[in-house]
Amino acid sequence: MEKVGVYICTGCDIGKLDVEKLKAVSQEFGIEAKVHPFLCSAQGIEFISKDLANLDAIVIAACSPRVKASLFNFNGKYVERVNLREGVVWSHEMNEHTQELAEDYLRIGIVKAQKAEKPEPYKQETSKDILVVGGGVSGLTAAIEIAKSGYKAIIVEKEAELGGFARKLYKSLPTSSPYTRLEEPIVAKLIDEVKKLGIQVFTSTIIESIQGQPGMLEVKLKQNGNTLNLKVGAIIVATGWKPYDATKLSEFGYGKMKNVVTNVEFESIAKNLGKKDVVFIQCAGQRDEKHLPYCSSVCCLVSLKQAKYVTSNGGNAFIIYKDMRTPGLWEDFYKAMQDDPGVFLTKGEVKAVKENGGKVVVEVANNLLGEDLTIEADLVVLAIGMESTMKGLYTIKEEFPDEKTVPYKHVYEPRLIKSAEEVEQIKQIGHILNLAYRQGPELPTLRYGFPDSNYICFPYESRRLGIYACGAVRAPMEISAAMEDARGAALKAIQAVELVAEGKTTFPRTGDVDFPNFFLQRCTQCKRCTEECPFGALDEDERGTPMPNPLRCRRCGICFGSCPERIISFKQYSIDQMSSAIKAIYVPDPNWDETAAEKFRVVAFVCENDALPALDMASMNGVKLNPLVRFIPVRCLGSVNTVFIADALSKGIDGILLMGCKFGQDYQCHFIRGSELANRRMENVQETLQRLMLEKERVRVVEVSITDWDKIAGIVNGFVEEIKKLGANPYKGF
Amino acid sequence: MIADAKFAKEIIQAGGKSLKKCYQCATCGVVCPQSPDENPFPRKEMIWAQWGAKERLLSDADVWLCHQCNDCSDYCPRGAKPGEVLAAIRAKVVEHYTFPSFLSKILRRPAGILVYFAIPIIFTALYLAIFTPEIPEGEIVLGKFIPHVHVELAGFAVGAWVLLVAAISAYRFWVAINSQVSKVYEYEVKEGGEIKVVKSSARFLEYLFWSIIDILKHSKFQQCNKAKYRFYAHFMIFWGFIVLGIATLGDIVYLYVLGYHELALPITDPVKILGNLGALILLVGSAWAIVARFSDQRIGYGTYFDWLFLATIFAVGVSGVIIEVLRYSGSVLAYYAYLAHLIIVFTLLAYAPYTKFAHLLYRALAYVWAKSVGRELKS
Amino acid sequence: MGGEILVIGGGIAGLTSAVEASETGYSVVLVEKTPFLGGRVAQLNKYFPKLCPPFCGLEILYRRMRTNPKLKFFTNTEVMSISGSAGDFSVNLRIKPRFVNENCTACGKCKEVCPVEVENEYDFGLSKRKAIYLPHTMAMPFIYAIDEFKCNKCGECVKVCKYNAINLNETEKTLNLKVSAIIVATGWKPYEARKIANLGYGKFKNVVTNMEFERLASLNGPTNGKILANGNPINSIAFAQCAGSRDENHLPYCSAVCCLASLKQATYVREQYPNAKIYIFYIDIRAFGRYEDFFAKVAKEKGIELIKGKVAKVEEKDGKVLVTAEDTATGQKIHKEVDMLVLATGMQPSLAENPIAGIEVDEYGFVREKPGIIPAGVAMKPLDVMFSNETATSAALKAIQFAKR
Repeated sequence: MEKVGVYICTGCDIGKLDVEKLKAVSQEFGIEAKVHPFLCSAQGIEFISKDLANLDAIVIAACSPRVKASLFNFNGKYVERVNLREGVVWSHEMNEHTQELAEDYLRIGIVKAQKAEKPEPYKQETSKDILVVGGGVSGLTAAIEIAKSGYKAIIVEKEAELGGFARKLYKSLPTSSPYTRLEEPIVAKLIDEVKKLGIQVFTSTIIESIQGQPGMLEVKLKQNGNTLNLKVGAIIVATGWKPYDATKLSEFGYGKMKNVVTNVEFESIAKNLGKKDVVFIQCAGQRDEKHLPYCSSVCCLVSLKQAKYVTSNGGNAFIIYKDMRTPGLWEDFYKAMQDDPGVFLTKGEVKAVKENGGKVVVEVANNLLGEDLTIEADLVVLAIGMESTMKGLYTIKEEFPDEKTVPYKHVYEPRLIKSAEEVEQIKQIGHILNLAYRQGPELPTLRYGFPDSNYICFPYESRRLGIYACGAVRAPMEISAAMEDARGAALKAIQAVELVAEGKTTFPRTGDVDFPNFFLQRCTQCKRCTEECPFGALDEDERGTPMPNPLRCRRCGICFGSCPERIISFKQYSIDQMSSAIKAIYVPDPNWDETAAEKFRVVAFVCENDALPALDMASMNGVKLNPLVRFIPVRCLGSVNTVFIADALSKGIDGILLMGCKFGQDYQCHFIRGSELANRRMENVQETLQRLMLEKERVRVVEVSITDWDKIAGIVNGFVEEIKKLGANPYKGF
Repeated sequence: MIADAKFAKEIIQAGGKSLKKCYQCATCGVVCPQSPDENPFPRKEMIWAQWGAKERLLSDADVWLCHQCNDCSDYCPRGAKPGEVLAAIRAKVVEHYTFPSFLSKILRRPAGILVYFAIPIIFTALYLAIFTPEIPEGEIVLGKFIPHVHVELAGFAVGAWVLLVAAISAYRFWVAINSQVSKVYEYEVKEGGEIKVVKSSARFLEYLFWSIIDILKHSKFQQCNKAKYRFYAHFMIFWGFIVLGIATLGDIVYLYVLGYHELALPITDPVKILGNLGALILLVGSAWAIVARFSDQRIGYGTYFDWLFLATIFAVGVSGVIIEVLRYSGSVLAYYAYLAHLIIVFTLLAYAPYTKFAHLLYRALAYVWAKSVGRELKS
Repeated sequence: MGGEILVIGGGIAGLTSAVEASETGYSVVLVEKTPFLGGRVAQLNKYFPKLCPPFCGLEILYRRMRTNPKLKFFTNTEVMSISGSAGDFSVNLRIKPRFVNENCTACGKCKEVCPVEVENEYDFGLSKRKAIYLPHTMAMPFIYAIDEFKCNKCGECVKVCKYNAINLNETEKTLNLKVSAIIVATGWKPYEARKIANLGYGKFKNVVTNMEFERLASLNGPTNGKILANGNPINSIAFAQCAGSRDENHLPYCSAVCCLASLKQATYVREQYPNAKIYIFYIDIRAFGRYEDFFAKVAKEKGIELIKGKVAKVEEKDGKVLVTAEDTATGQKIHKEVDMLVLATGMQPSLAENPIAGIEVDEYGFVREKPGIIPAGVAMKPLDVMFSNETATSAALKAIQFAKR
């Protein structure tokens, strides 16, 4: 930006700084800074607004960018906030060093504004149609809701009929208060509604491939040997679940005795059940390290429902559970079923299932009756669990590391691949989406094959923009929950097609139109960017040159941090901008400045999502920091290029601190693996340090969560003390 | 243990309507002022009842250590009313052990009310047919209508019957609660690594003595929190009976020691005063119990078994007072009231082993048992 | 002044539905009854199962709000009544005075001179605050507020405020909005533990609720995050599950979160006191779905004992809490003497006791959905944060079907 205006606020104690000196800093850049005592007041805003016509970018030297953000918004003009309040006066003792800190921050701010460019949105002709994969309850609901919201939905179902598993149910759980009466399965109604709304349905159809990016996804369908082509904007994955393989449950007599069936099989015999006594064994092959370690959430409810099938035929139902899990309002249903005189319940462990004449005998230990219990019945029903239809599929490469690659720590269950043939074998299992994405053909999964979100706050977080999973493929759930989930995913899909139509990305940087540009002439095909992008936004050509898909991009800057050739930049977040900002820091030259020996300089790159707010909070809670440290916010620690570190060190910066989010399985990094990557890159940094003959302790990465403000002083001030012990960077003044 | 769906349903029918509601949180045994630390009740009884663990329940003396204070039902988060369920189990226990069991089964059912009244009415009718007593003229003197000696003979006959039945029932019950079934569960509890040995019942009479003291003092009832009234009401009914018993003894002294021919005693006579006092205490106590049982639906309104007994006691008291009033007012209706009173007293006494009256026997034995095995809660 | 979608409640569910609907291109107005957004999650120390801080997600939501012109919010605002039907609702709002305006820079000078000290509801009364206050440093909006009922109008704050941000004469305003759809995300409040007579809350000092415990464990709480009983470190602690939940005498339903919340809180204790004894008394551990992993992880930790049996008796002895339950697995009564007892009290829907005219609720106070009136989060049913956000996203979808972009 050429025309940069600098505005300094003196309110909230900022006036304690030497404002004249700050103005002098501005003059270094040929800009006459304007000073106002209360910049966020109506008069203050007016004070800035009257200059707007002559400005491209505005530098506000006042408070943290986290406050008054909507006030300092000038019709989308570039605004650079210089954090003098929380970042300087509130968090530091007032002295010469603090004054220099403020001056450096102003320099950084002005440089960043000057180096920023106006972004052009990536606008393409996009489709707003949404493809729903799977025609079960979740898929049908998603399609119906999409249609009702005024968008076109298309259903693809690999079976010949719609309805999925729900079609096989005899009765459904009650869905409304008082939760006592079983209901007719809703799936027939949903199928009718799909017909009524005229939603396009492809049955007996699989997806051959999906190419492109949200808003412009090219889908090849295969139906009875014919290939069909579609262009859609977003995709909902609702392929549901499969029952756990009960043949592995021979301990309960399954496969050995004809009177032992699964809860899935029981649905089909329920209609013509007759008067039978039935034992239900809960958690059969669930909550069990040998089988499924998780809880399928629905089986307690299902068995209670199936108990009703039994008692309404005059039989008795005996339910042996580990914990009765009927959370929330389902407790009402549990209560109703408890009240049924034909339902018998106890916690217990099934010791043996035996045959005795035409009957089955179940022995139950560790129950609530104080001694082992023997139940004679006509039938045993095993409450087996639900597995994701994605379980076992070849999903994305990071989940299948080979012997050469180091598995990512955020991946729960990396499945080490020994050979290319092994990959081929797994790929034979078949695919759902067949994405022609460089990183893999499916959605990444979290655990046990569920493509669930790792975020509690953002349950529809997807690492593939525009592709959202819902229903039992995502997590085990019952029908009403799956329908609710389908609506949530439908909203996200609609949101995605609307955002990408304007070239915008989704959260956490929702609305950002600036996307990374690649100066490919200098690309060395090292593939780091295509490998490291957490969102799979980059494909590759045969030579390994990245082929960006801006509409898949979430603007974290990890690619830009990964590139050793420095050829990736955003318009408003570029290598040049960041390098220049670092270079703008005034490092006293020991050759002519005698105070230089004391004036150590430390640069801290801080994640703007968690570490930066933590710094603000530390400041507001009266934490005092060493003024020798310059904090530079970054979009993600993964966007810190090792070049920045090399630049800083060769300029004479004494130490570098990188403050990012927690990583590993319970990662808090909003870009999944940014902070993990920052840690990995430290290996390269160590090489740089070696080359420069510097101590490796000069660079450190720390994990900081947003509420760690009490630890900030220890981390930051402690680091400065250690650097001081190492002594000054010998490159000062070169 | 074998699940018995039928027996579970029987307990429900016997008044344990809410037993299925229990979800085994075990609040009941903790809030229960009577329940010991080891194998506390009534949580285990609740699940035994749910699963119809017949053998267990019938040999479980704990149900008799329950005084239906209803702290359990008050705090029960499910409205399972353990107090009520245990009362129903007790009814089933009485039904099971009381000899002969066919009569026991008949009398425990609401339809048994016909038999309940039919037998004394038939006896009375036979008596009236054989002896054809006539309503005497003049001052109301009940002995002129039906000679005391007849009443006494009938009383002895009933008493002998009751004692016989009680002895058989008590023996069966005692054997059951001391049987292996209950031993395994109740006492082989490791405490400090050692297995506690079941104490012998050699000191039976000593334990019985202390049990009777407990009963006279109502020391267990005193521990109730929620249904404090039960202590007072039961205490009054119990002592009302005792006072009436003493008055009856006084009557016998008058008749056979002092040689009175008639017992139309003046209202100022000490024995009469005692009798009236006993009747008053009994009436107030039973009326209180009746009213209090309607007070809290969360706790339950009681079972048929409870009501039959309570109503009979109340009727005994009311009919006695009616005779008294009619006699002093000189109405010949007093004789008819007397007949009715005798019939009601018969139902109270002759069926005692079959009705809730039997709790005196079973609970007393349970007290003895608790003392003998060291299960008694130290208060 | 109008919006297409009204969101009632500025807790996590309300924020999520408002942000999601507005990012889909619809104009949204969010109203919050209290002076600050964030709701109940802002009072939590960590979320299960990741043990991550709630402010992390709130920060992202707030940032998305700040940069979204389609989303407006009003704090200190109550919905008085709703009339009309889907696509055409008329809503009457009451905006209570904040007495502090947008000029506030949160410099904090006012707080220093304010002479009125009151119980801090953010910490459930475990700490004090001034009548002019910010509940915590992540507050949104980041503007002070004056407690209408506690302020004595002495005017000291007005004197020190350099920014002309305080007006003690501000009065209540009313506002009528026309909207197409209404998302009801009114959330919940902790069930009043005093009503559970046998658990000793309010009688014994070291019997606290799970929400109070969150505050005790939070860095911005009354003890700066140090869990203390009588000012001393904890050697033993008990958690009583279903305190008021699954209970006909209190909340008949299961609150769905308390098992996991207590398991999570056990990790707070473990983190601060590696040797403390931790007892969790439960009826059923409801760690459904993949929460089972979290349960398995915590249950494996040393010194955490899970006892199947509900705490039914609580006494106090020499400053310690005496807890009794029956272990139903062994059929023995268990007595534990602990430094602190945490009651896993349940969630009661806010509308149970404070209904809004025009919103229908069930017997427990949960909102019944009807066209255009859409519940989200715990206003709908007992849910944890993740499921609240799912319902909030789903609610956004239902809402946009009645609204115009």
